[in-house]
Amino acid sequence: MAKTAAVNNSINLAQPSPQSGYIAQKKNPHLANEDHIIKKTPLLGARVTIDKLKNNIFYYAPKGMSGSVNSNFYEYLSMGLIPYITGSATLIALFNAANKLYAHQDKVAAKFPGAQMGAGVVLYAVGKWLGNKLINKGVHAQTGIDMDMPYKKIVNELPSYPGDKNTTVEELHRVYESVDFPRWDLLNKMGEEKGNRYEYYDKIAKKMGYKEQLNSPDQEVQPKIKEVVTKAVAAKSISSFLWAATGVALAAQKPFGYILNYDNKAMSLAGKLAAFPKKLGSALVESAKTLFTGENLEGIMGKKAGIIGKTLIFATLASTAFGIINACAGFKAKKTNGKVVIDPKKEVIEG
Amino acid sequence: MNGVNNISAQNQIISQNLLREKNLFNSLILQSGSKQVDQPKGKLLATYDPVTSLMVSAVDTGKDVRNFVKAIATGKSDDTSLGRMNDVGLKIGGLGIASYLATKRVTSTAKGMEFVGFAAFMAAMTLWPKIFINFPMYLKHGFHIDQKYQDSNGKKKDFSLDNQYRPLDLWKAEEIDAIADKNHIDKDIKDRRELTENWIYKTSLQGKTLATLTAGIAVPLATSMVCSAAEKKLIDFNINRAVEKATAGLENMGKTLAKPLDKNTSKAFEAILSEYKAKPLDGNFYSRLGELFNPLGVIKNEIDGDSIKLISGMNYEQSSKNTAEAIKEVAERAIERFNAAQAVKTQNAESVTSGLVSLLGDKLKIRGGISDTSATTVLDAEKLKGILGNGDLNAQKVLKILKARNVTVEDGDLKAAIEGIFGGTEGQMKEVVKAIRGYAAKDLKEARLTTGALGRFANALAGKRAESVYTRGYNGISSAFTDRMNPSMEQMRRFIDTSRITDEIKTTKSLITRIKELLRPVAKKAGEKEPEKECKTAEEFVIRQIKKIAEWKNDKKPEDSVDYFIKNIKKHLDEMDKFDRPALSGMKKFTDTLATLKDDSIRTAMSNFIRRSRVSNDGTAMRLFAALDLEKRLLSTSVRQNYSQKVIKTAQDIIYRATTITSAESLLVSKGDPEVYKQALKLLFGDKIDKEVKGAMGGELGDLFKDFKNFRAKMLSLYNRQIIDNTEDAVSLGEPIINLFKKGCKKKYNTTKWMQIFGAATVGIIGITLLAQFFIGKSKKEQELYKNKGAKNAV
Repeated sequence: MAKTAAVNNSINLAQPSPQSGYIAQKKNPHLANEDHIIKKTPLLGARVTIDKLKNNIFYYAPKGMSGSVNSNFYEYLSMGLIPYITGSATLIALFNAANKLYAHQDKVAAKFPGAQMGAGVVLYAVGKWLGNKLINKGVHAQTGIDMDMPYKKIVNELPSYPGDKNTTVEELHRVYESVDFPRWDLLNKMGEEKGNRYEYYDKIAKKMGYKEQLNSPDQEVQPKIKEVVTKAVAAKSISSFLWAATGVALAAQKPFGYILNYDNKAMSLAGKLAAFPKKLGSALVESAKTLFTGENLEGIMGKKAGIIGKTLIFATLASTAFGIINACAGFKAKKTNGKVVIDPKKEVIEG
Repeated sequence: MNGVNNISAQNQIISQNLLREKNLFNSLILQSGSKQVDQPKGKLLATYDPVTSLMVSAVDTGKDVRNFVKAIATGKSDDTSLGRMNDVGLKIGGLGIASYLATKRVTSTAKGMEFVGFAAFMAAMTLWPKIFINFPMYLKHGFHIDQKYQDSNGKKKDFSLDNQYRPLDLWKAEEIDAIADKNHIDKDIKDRRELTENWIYKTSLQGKTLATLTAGIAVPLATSMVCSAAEKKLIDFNINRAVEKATAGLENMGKTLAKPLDKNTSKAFEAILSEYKAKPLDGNFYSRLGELFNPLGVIKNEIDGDSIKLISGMNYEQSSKNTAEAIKEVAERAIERFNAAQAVKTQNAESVTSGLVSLLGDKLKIRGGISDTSATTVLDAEKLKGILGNGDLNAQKVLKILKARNVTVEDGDLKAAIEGIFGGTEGQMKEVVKAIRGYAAKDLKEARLTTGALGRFANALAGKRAESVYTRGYNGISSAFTDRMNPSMEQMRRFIDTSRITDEIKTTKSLITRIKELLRPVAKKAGEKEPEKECKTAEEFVIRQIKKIAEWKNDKKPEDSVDYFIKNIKKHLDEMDKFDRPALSGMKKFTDTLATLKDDSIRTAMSNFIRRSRVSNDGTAMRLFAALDLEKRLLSTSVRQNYSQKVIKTAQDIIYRATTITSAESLLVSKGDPEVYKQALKLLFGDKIDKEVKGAMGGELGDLFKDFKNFRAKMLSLYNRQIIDNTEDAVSLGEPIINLFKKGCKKKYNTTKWMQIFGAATVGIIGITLLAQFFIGKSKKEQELYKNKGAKNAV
């Protein structure tokens, strides 16, 4: 049902529209024209990223460069992916592109830090992703609040030229991406589709420890969700960068300097690719060891490297553990003598 | 209780809401809506100068941290604050990375560069759009696309953050009009202000998108450019600071000595000493001591028995008891070993012969001929004595001589046998020295004691592998010389690359070279000079270039003159001179502090080490001057007539290539006719110095000229003697010019190549970014639409 919109911008440059092929709302066709929560499928995140990248290049960037009135904040944030990718490529190039032109001995010498830089850039991204993911998963498991819960947003744009009929585009957001304005309305709508407006809140309330169904669970649950999400987002903003730093520190260990060197020089590309996962695995294990002990490239123990390496590892793990524990602390309904003190039957005025 | 509380809190909020609504209603009714209910408090913020803006951003970061703590503790925050926390995380992560990577770097500059790189990256992220997009756009359009405002909640934001949320009420109408005027928006358009507002947002969006598209490429490039510029400065800073710190270290030595050993160290120390009470000292003993402290940091760069001499020269009476006594005990044991070694250090041929014969008997064989297959015969005592000669012998020397004469031992180890005769001391000595040096090198930085302080000082001034004054001097001379030789990239690649074969070079000629070659016949016809024949070797090239300098006349570039050549290299000698004075005074302070040194050997050894390093640099520079002087004089016909071609060739061989390994007892071997060699030396170092060279060195009274004269005299005697028996003489020859040039080429080639690629890329991205701005802010089409249809219909 992904509706396409051929949108021309103000200077009438024909551009392809964003395609969101990963969601098909066959069950409730009427939702296709409204914002709605979509089901999470495996690899959705990866597909969204690829999709965003495609849109960035072919759609959002041209729209932004032409100053289209329809270019919005979502698209601007989406484009944040571009400097990440070009920046990573440039960093790798700075340490590698000139190497093959150097004098022979230097060529060999430059290969080592070049490989480490490449690995560093990749492990930075992986670390950052992992740091975010771990807290999300932890919080989800503890509270049932999925901070990655996706929803599809249908945006009605202004016509790009007189008579422009195709004015809707789709965007993929997360329900909790804003702590100021979480999309409660979509959670309600999701419940309404199944006949219980508060279905989601009931579920969370149960997780909070309320044994009986609350009369107005949203009153009780919404502030709690906000609190959990805020705490988790704050923790992630530090923790994810610590994970990224650990990634770079791992890449700075000896094995990653040789990650692309194969003993058998004549090995085919397919053979190299097949051998790579094992090589990567052992490089990660070996690097984690030396990062912890502080051993340097010559096998000599470096006191400072060991101290900072250990600190980094502990700080990273602790930030994740703390992030999850802190976000979930206070989530459970407080109990007195094992009994929840609340009058679930009490009437309240909905504000 | 809590549930109830929650509900009552709810009720409270509701009643507050009701009250507010009532008040609103009242105000609307009673005051006829003339007053706004909630006066908005938003305002545009001033654009700060860089310093103020840095301070403001520091304060803002402080607020971010406060907001972070609040968010973590209470779960209360907002999107803007949470977004800004990401920047805090980015900085913490970046600092973590820099701190860790710094531990993996060896020199202080490399360590420092990790932090410089991080700071430069952060700065580039902020400054790239500011300098190359926002500022030019401000000049062109009259407003800042990153204009900040403060919203009613006190949050700072860019006015153009969200293209579809436009706080335009913050701008005064006149400001909008001024922007419209500056950008030549037609005055007769009816909805001119609205058009301008739309146009401001359109332009801002374009600028911001441009920043997003270019930042990824520009920020790392700009960072690397800043870093390569900053690195040189940082090296200078670090070298100067290291000398200062080391000098202060010498001055404070008294205090350092008075520091007692801490509890753990002294405990561990006693344990080692008691373990070795009965056992002979071995490498392990010293290694373990090295884990505790580094009493001999000073000898890091020293070799052989000198190391042990240093220890025997120590006197610790001046110092406080704990630390000094500990060291004294180590020293005493080492001295014991040293004395034992000294006692049997040399023997004469007779005693060695009798020793060997009694030890090996007729197992000692000598091979008759040169080839491996020739028969071996038993070596008799008389013959052995003859081979060994008359001088004082040590184990190494004996081994060398016997090996040279094809002496072998049947079923045995010649080396072990010889060391047996010399009491095994040489081998053991080596082991001890090696062990001491091993931990000294490892722990040099943490040296806590007097000798460590002196070692740091010597290292700061003359350390070979570290960043030091003299290393910088050498690098300066090397690159000044290489630059002056002015090799092309193609030539440098050929001179430094031993891995390529000649044919391959031909096939990798650059496109420009090929075109030039194709056009050569045409150019020749047009009267262009035939290009110079390509030099095959680095040596040919260097001689040709130095000759060119020698041939310099006033009509050529001043950079190619004799005067410039000499002064440009002298600059680096002068720079080193500046540090010689503090070096001397530092040494003096050291001696004064330890006034009761039994002998001056520590100081002597260190000043020898420092002087050698300096002499080596001077030699390298002087050698260049001597080459230029030679080529200059060779221009005169009379000189060419006085000396045969063979002599000239030998002289050039000596000055461009002659070398010796920097250890004692190396020979400078003359090849061929001794008479030619003698003549060549006269031509090189004996004849009168060229007038122009003399002039450039400041004439008869110039310090440099005096030094040069001394250098020539010394070289004349050294090369004549052909024997170099001490390190200082060996290094005084300086680096062979060809080696110096090749090393310089390698450095220059890599740096230039890197710069060619990434410098060009940086210029390219700046160019594209600036060029793209010509297409930003075009408004003709909209103006037409507005004119024809009015604001409401124009899209």
